[in-house]
Amino acid sequence: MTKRICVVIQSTAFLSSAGMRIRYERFMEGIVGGDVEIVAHPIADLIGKPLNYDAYLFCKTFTLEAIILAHAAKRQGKIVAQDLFDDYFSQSTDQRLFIYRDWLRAMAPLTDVVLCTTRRMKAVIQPFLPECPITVIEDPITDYDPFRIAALADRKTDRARMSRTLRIAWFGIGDNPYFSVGLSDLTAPAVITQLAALAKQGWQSLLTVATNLRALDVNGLALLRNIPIPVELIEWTEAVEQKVLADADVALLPVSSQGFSRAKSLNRALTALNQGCQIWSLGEPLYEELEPFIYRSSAVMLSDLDSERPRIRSETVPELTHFLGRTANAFQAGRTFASAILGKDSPPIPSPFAVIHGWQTTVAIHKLTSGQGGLSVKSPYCGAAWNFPVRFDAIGQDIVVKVSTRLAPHYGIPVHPQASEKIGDFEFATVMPDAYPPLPRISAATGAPLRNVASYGDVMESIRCAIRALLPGTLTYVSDLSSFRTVASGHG
Amino acid sequence: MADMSTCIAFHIDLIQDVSALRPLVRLASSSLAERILLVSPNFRALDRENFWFAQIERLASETGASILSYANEFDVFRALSRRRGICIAGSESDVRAHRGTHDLFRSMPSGFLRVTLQHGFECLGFLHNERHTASFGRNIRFAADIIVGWFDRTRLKDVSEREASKLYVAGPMMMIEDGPLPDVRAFDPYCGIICENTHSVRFSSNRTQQNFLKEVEQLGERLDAVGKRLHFRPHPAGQFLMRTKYELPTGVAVEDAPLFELNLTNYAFAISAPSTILFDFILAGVPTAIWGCGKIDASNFAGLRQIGSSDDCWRFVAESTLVREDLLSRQNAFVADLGIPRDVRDRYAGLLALSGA
Repeated sequence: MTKRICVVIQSTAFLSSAGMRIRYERFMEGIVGGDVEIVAHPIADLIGKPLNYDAYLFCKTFTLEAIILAHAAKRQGKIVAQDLFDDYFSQSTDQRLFIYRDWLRAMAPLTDVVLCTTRRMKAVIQPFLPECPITVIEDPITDYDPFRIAALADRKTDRARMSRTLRIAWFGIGDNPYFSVGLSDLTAPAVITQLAALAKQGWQSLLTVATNLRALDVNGLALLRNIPIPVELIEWTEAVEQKVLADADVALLPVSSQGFSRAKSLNRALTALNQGCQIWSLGEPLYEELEPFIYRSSAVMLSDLDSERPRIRSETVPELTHFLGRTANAFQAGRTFASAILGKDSPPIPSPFAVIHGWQTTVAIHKLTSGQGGLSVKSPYCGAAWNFPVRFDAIGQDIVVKVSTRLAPHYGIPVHPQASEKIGDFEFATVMPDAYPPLPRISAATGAPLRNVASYGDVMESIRCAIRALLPGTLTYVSDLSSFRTVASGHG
Repeated sequence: MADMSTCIAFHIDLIQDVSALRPLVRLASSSLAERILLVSPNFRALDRENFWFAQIERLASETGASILSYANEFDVFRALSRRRGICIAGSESDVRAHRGTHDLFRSMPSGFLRVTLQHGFECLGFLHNERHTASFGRNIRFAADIIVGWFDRTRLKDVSEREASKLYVAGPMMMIEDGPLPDVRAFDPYCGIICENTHSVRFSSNRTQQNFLKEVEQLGERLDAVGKRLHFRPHPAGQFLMRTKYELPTGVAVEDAPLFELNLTNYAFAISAPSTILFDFILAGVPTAIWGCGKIDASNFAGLRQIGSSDDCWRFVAESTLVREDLLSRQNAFVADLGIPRDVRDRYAGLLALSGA
């Protein structure tokens, strides 16, 4: 019987992104036999619908919606898997990235299998998911045509040698919202020095940069200004990338030493090799594995070109083919992919879940929670007037716990026998304080943001403990888009 | 690949840049280098009625330059990346009003030498009115590699020490084109011009603006009574008439043609609050007075005729016809003291030669 894997993505825009293209489409090409099907869907198309797939592979979906969907899938005994390719997790002192670390921790109890692209990435995420098997699947290479590579490479060598002109290409995303990578790697002082040195060795050179328009703003262009050889700029598209690489003698691949860059795959080098380019790797030795086929020094590269013996040439292509067959084999990768995900039993978890609403939350999450059979819980920081079945309200400096009178007997929650009160559409009873661990006092739930920041972490953690005591086995998630969470949670 | 074509680019971002750069664009017309007029999106937005863009088109066709009206810095980088040469801006510094040119200079391909001009008698980063300093401070920085000044270094008191090594003194651009010497007798007695620049930071209060307009009214009436006409010139960048819907008093005529189209020597006198236009009239041999009633800093114009009151103003108008030679010799002494180089045209020609053509 055909097994079906659903790749869960954030939006349809991702369907045309590099990640999708490089990875899943190549896996699909590599899986032969037709007993495994891979389909990608944006998260919005899956939520609230019947869960018809055997496995759900979450890919770059760092939202609470994704967690709720994973929870629903897990309760129905579906396999929940994650594919992680960018290191947004190892920067434990960077609060901007707290949301990623927090998401990964929340997903940990729901996750059966994790895939990632590199060994370095595996080491980064292992501490977050100590129980989970993590499988490294490198990006496979497809459309590999050894004859074309051989012919292209030899022609490029001839042209370069006769004209003593080196056409250099740099390609890819030029910016990142969190890290200085891309154009700033290309214009790092060490790279500038190396480019300037080409002229000293008697070579003319031209650098073609194919990158996204957003990166080519004033600051990006101001960086490119520092490049000491002529630069040609082209807006990146997949077709442009192929064309630029087919025309270039050398692909320049500078890599910085920050965690984000070090966890990257070999993909850019493989893409360039596939177009018959020499590879010029500078900075972090990310492409070490490809050692016999790449250059670290321009002097060696230029003298090899002069003597018509560059590392990529028709004579070396058989070796390259053999090497890629071992490391970037699409058939192998496709099979590993399918067996890693589908080879695991996924015991359903019976646990219900609760979403604790913080300072800044959305009604969409509130509705989604109840729609998926979860409990929407109001914290004292939440000012919304929705129908929460469980409430943690601030009365003076005390936090009082109230549950709807319909819910209390269902879970056997001991409530105050006195008269109930009506809030919104529900009748509420106050929970007996000895039914849960004591809650801290709160200075003021509204109006004093600074004092609230100080108590936020402590209060939210106590609410989680209280929920676990009142509703045993429940998994809790927090819905709060405000910077409160990040600040209150500190590092980690 | 090595033979990149040479190019002289001019950057036009503010309305005033057109007049400031015009003599230089004309001077460059004999250069072998390709000449491009870069017109910024900001300029197109300011020039809503395309009046000044038409001037640019005319200048381009007269001088054989091409026009690149660009949308963002990337357009310019792409257009210039296979060229080398020099890019000259009418106005550039790190203050907000010059942001467009500053960003363009920061992101310009490295084959270009970046030059900005002192674009007025008082000019940010070169020579400040006290209001300039109060609003923007004294440490005005440039992205340009060369900053071109009008006067001797000692007169340019507001060039930051950090920028001083970039200074090249070439003189005012309006002195590039030496026309025939002005005939000081060929003027219309009593027919003068009063110039408005109330949008300037120099007008620190509404009160001062109102006083200025009252002066226009009174002078207009007095001249009208003797059958003479007062001309009123709104600043090209201020869009004063459009902005305020100001109705000119009877007997006062608007004169808003580009300055380079006017024969300045026809006027009997010129009055303005501190502004570069005073300097244009001084060079044209027209008696000039600075209006400010003590409320506007005119220290950079010390030595010239100052007007404090309405009667003062009327007396100056009479003097401009009756004792014209006295006023003019006083003005000439003021100019002689500025340390303007004698060879303005040659100095700008030398600057253009840096394009490598």
